[in-house]
Amino acid sequence: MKLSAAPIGAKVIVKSLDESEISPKLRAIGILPGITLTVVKSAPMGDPRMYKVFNKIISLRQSEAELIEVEMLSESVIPLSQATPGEYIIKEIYGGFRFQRWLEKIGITYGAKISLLSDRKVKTAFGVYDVGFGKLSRIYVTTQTTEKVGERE
Amino acid sequence: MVITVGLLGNPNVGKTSLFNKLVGARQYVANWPGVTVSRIEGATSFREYTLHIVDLPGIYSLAATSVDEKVTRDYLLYSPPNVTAVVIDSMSPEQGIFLLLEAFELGLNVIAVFNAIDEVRKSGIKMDKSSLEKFLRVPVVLTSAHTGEGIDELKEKIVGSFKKSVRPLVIDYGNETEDYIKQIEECVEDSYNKRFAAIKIIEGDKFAGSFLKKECKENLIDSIPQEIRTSIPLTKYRYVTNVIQLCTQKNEEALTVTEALDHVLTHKYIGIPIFLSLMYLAFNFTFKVSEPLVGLMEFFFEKLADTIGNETLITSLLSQGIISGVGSVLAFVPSIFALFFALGIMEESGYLPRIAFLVDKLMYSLRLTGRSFMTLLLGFGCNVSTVMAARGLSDERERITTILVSPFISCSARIPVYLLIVSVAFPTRKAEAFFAIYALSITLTAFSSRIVNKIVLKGQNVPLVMELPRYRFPKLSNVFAYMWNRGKHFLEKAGTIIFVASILIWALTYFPSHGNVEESYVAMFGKLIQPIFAPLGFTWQIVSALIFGGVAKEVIVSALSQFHKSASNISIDPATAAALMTFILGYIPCFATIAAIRSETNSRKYTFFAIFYSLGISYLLSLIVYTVGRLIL
Repeated sequence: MKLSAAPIGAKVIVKSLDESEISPKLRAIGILPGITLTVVKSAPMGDPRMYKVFNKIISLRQSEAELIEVEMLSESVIPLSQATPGEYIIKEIYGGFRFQRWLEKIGITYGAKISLLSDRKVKTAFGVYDVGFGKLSRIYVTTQTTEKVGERE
Repeated sequence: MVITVGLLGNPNVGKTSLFNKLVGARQYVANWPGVTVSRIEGATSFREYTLHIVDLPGIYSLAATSVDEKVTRDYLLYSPPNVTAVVIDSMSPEQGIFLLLEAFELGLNVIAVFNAIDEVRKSGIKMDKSSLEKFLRVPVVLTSAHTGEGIDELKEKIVGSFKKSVRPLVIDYGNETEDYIKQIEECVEDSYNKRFAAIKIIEGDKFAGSFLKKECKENLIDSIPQEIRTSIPLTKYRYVTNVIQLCTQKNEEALTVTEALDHVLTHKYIGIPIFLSLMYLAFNFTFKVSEPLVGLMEFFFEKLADTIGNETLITSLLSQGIISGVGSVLAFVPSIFALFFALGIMEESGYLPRIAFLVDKLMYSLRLTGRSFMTLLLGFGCNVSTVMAARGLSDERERITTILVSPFISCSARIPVYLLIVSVAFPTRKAEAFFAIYALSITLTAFSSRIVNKIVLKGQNVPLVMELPRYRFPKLSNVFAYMWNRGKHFLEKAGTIIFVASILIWALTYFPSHGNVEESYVAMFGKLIQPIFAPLGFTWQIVSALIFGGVAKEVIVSALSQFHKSASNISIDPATAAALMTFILGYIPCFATIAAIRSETNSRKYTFFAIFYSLGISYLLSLIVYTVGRLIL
């Protein structure tokens, strides 16, 4: 995938760079094949975005990020709305108390295992549910079981 | 004995702070990249030696892609200093060590300086100096420009390394790449460091073509596969990460202050509203703090002028021309310093590049970039700085656009004029009026850059790769240095150009009728052209003041107070005041800016454009403001 398409929060590993005017500079900063980047956040209107390269925060435009081919790492925490169908673990839910209560009822809680079906429905321990795109984008998931999951409550 | 020392490093790692600590100078250091666009030199004595220190523009790599990078590279290439101190940010050392490895390849006599060591300790990271020295094979100094730690040791090591240079580390890029390096080395002109030149050619350096001998085949360079090109930086970065892993001990990654602050300050939705509120707060602070002082100074100058009186030619020149003329401008000095104090805090904390990040999309649709936005921000001090600093922009089209729109950035010279108008016409709404005029200034700049691009130049994309530095707690001494460096310009002008203009204005108001303003030369001239500005509600006094203001905007204040005998006699109604502020914002670049535009663009066409475009658009806008203003104010 292109770096510009990687969701916010994703950890990606750089695969290759298209040769361009800025590629020597990108390489010098440390954006090189084999190096891990984190997508930190985006500016208003989705462009430019901040990336973490080693310990520095670099801002790149989407048009520049498009030159960088990356692969997402499994430990990334990404919004469910951006995820490809498969199994995930809930890491973070952004929303008020009512939103969390509503999700709890259908089995989406911190640390719960769910799967995203190919028709973008969510399968939880309680059943299969249709969750809107807006809601999905506030649920952050990962594919890895890591240490602190479950302690969040 | 003189030792030349080059300070090399990434942007914003504290080279300039270190430079100040070393030579005891007071260069202003901003917490955003690209502060040093040309090199700054200074000297200090240490033992029997004189250390001649050169602060170079920050770069990521010795491969030059823009003009300021080329400045640094050429300096190191053609006149290498006796000792090169590579300054590395200890909080994010990777990119710095990478540059260090490149400096080795150039065959420089290198010292590694790990700066900001105090921050590293605070965050619980351990850095082992002796193992750094072992793996990097150069003298290592841990310093903090903030606390002054390690500065003496650095001087010590500079001398040590001058006496006895070390054999630098040579990085092996693997057989395949090394073969290419050897092949290309044969083509490199003999006067250059062959290995360095060959490596840069492989990496795709824009300016590396000049290293090659004429008879060399062009296709040799084009035939280098991409894997080989990337293998060079990749090998270096592998080495760097290894060194760091072996020499530092890190804690678990925790949410840093910078990340937490960024979450709010560069938020998707509230980021821009927060920026606007902070600006508003800054203006409010400016007035609250400086108001009593300004009042006091105005009172003082007025009393002084009254005591002298204006009966004779000499006393009139003294009281009207000099005290009232220059004094009316000087009275606003506290406000200007207070405003720069507030802006200094914003800049010092590292917030400024975030603004560029926030507004980039918007600026981009207007064909400007975050980088030129930061250049334009300099213009809030003085437009001439923007015109000069635009040299740092790598794209010619962007440079011209930035120069041509820079006069719309409301410079500090305009502040006293606004202050005067605001205190006369909007005494209860000062901060709001200021906020409005600055918002208008930015809008007009953005709008004009769109027009310039449409009409004068045909544009394409300009890349933006920008580092966002960590937030820092503003250090008071730095904020004061910032305030002083920006504000002193103003004091200098008060003693020179404003002084001369005030006397000239006095002469034109005094003669031929010995002090009767209504029948003076100024009045005759003002009344002659006043009809042109009648639709904007301007009186002949305003019109004449505006003409004098072409020299330098502060002169408007001095002229207005002379025409009315003193600043407290001026009265302007709100609608006219709003129109006047709008007009002053853009009507004409001052003499110094026009001269700078002329010399930097080297084109009469662009200079005329800058003058007449701004006159036209300001007239039009003021007309709208006046017409609308009369209805609502």
